[in-house]
Amino acid sequence: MNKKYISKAAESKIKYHRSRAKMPYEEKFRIIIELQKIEAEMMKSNKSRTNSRIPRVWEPE
Amino acid sequence: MKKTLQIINQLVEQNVITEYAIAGGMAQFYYIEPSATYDLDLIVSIKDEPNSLTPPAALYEWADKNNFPTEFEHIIIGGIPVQFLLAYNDLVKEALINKIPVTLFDEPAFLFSAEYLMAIMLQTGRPIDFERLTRFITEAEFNEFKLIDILERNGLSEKYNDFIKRINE
Repeated sequence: MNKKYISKAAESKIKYHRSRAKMPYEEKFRIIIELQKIEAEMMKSNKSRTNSRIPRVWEPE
Repeated sequence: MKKTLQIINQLVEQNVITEYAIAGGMAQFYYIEPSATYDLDLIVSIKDEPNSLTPPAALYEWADKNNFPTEFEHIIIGGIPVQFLLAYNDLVKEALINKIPVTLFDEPAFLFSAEYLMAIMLQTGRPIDFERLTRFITEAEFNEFKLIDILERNGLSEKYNDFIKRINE
């Protein structure tokens, strides 16, 4: 793979994350809850983690 | 989170706390792309401030009296575990004084500025802090002059220079 291609890909990745950082806080909040749900499911199905506490998924009122 | 913020603002109105600022992950994600976090950290000040390393008892009394459940050190407010912490050192005290007013979910709120969050992450220095600090440097909008000033006044310049050197290697 050529160096120019790699640095271009890295640059566009940074641009992508920078644009994601600018999304509204309310949208970020929604994403955080989705990530909590995914992580909780993964923890439940991971038998080696049966002793560890599964963190509470937020239920905003 | 709207309900949570409403209740936190009521705590100020009722003088249970004198001021607050959102800190930790939920403040960091105001500036960078979000990842999973499980609590809302609030740095607060209380009138007759107890030892800054112990959880503020007045808040747990308030929670008990008003039927807000607690879970370990968290008080569940509006479905979100909230951790109340007193400003535990000079940098955090300074960050609280210089908190920024924002509107979240149509509610007024206060949070730490990007520059103070970066300095606190550098000072705390856990792997997760360094990972998020790296993201701040590439994703967040911050004032470099302000950051350098905070770092210099809090003896963190050398640590910052080492960190920058490492991420550029």
